[in-house]
Amino acid sequence: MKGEQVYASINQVDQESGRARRGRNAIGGGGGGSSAPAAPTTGSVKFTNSSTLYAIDEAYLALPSDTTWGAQRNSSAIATGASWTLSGITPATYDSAITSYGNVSNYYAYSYGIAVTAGSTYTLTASNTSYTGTLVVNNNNATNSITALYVSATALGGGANVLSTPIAPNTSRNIVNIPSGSYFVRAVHGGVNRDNSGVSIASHSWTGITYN
Amino acid sequence: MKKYIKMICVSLVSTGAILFVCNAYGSGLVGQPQFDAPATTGNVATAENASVNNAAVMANEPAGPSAQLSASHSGATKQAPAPVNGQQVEVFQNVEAVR
Repeated sequence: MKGEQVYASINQVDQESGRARRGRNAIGGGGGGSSAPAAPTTGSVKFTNSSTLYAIDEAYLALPSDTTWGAQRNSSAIATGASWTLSGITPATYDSAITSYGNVSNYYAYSYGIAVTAGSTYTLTASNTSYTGTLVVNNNNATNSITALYVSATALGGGANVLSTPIAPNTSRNIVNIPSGSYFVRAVHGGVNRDNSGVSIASHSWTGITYN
Repeated sequence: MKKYIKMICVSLVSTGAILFVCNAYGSGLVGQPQFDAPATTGNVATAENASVNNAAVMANEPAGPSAQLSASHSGATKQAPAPVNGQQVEVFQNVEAVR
């Protein structure tokens, strides 16, 4: 429906342009008429970086049915206060992700259900508070591994184990892609549940948790 | 902070009950979120592909659809883009969240 409206608007503009051209042609002693420009067949997505702190280092656009984000679309970072437009997009509904590099971790932001229509530009805006945060888990114990870690917004031990492999003694692991908020964290450390509540995660920030 | 907590635990271990409390609740030492400055390794946007918003120009453009990017994600549908630096990380899938 929205696409139809956009097309209607574009056609109206084209018709008005045609009338204007015909008028000028008449003044000039007549001419052979002009054909209206072809209606656009693609749309655009404009990434606007309104953050005052973080560049958008990577931008992605993919169909909802895609299982990965695919290739990075931008060739260079989008600086704070700048914008970059990805054009020539086949009209459809898309998902988008962006990545911002930090010194400790990468941070991510998303938008879903982006309806790209022909001749239209869809604007996506990132701000300082758009990004996920990271939990840095330090296993400072010389003997015990952390064999499972549960990060949940609702309950201790909730959700799935986020570890693909145990965190070995005297090593650290970053848990990335966590939306800002307060979390329950349960680590299974040396076979014992070690629980923390109210673990705060913030945009483009990392929170450390250390197990001795 | 860590030393302070250790001191509390050490000073209270004279009774078995308090020792149990320390064992049961002396879990991970959690810090506050730390601002992570942008990495300096990224390319700088060039004039060709980055443009500062111009209010006058923007005012002449028809308002198109727009949305804010946010940290909320469906997770299970598509993972976060692959992390860099060769560091092993875990990607939080937020499986509890409803898209």
